[in-house]
Amino acid sequence: MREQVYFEDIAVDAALPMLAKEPVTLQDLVKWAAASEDFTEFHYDEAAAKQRGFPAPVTNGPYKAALIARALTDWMGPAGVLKKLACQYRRIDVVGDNLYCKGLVTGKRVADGENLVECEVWTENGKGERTTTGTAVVALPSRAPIGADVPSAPASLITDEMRRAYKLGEVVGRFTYDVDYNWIHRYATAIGDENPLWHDRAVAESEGCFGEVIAPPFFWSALDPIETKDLEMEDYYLESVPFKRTGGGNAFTDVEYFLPIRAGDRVTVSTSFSEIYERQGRAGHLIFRVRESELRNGRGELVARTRCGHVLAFDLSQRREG
Amino acid sequence: MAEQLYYEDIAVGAELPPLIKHPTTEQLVRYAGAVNDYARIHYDYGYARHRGFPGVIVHGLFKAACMGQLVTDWAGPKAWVKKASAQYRGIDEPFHDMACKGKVVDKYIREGERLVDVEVWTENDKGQVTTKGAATILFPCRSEETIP
Repeated sequence: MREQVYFEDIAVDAALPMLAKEPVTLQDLVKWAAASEDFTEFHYDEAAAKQRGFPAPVTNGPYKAALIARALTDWMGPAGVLKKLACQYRRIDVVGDNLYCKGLVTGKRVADGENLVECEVWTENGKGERTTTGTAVVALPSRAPIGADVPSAPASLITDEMRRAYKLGEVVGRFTYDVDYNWIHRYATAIGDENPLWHDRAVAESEGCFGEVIAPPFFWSALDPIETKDLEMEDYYLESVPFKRTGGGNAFTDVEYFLPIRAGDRVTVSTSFSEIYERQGRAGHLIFRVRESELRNGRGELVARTRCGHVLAFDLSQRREG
Repeated sequence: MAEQLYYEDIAVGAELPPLIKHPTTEQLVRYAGAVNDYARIHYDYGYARHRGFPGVIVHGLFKAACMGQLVTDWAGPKAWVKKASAQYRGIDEPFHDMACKGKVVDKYIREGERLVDVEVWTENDKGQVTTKGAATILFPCRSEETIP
């Protein structure tokens, strides 16, 4: 068994020790079939696999998840607890292929008295393709009792007042923006993107995949009501946080398009706050506010969904002057 | 304009041709105007220093947009970016080179769409990764030239 790892020793962005299976054998899968009582033939019968169009018996998805779980439990040591593991099976692996379980620490936080480490985990085949992707949460012991190093630190800076201010899950603002060719052109000019798709109607019409001018991938941020200050971030309660604020800003932004934003679209953006949470990061005690927006065009069609995280950092060792 | 890439031509593990950007304060001000984001840390040196930054800093979403350009330059006009994301890890200052880089991590067909996942990031002139991101791109294939 590995030595115990402690919460304090874990660095965000650190790689988890890899577990290699070189290769996955037919015997492994037969043992898995027996242990899991999943006797689907194409997992162990070469003829059944070939008949289904697979080159060889297919490695069970849950077996891959189990290997990831093993990599995690090997790493976290006997006092660690695997709290959560979610896997998506993205590609097949077959008998004879090498399989590598890998992971990365993405965050640390203390919640309900537990020291939690969040990880991104995946399996790779011999070609370096990710065949399984997932996320895991592991609880680790601490070298000291929780909060012992900062005796005056509260478990949480998030108050009920704060949660109420954000009306989580409710639409808190709806704004309409008219997107035209000039706006797209100005935006692309600002970032120094000279691709004629954004600057030349004729090129967009003849070469572009939609036969007209569409907006570049991150143009939606021009329609984000928080960035444009059409909607306030409800920051007033921050005055009541008794620690020094050491920084803050955008943490992440995601977009998924269902239709392009076209020049000429009238886009209605509906925004709600979806989450408030805390974690420990390199910059101190962090509070994240996550907002989600839905963009619809003038015909009411769903164009895109966006998700943006804004972070505030506090130094719990520095009390703020009253 | 870049030549069109087709789904068949894309190899998992391939790197995107790097895009070197050199953001200027003029670009930051133009960007502020284009997106109506007038946060002062992006154009007011005194205010930015007061906030603890070495000077004005590049908008996170400006960097995301540059990663978007990296992807659209590479993918060609008939490809469509369906998903894009960015995480902001460190600040960038204007008048410093910022390298946008990426690589293909997966390709697959889902609901009839030929999709390619790329991992992208920006590096400052010290080689530190200041932004990380990802995108999923819908590609045309050689046999059917337009996306339905």
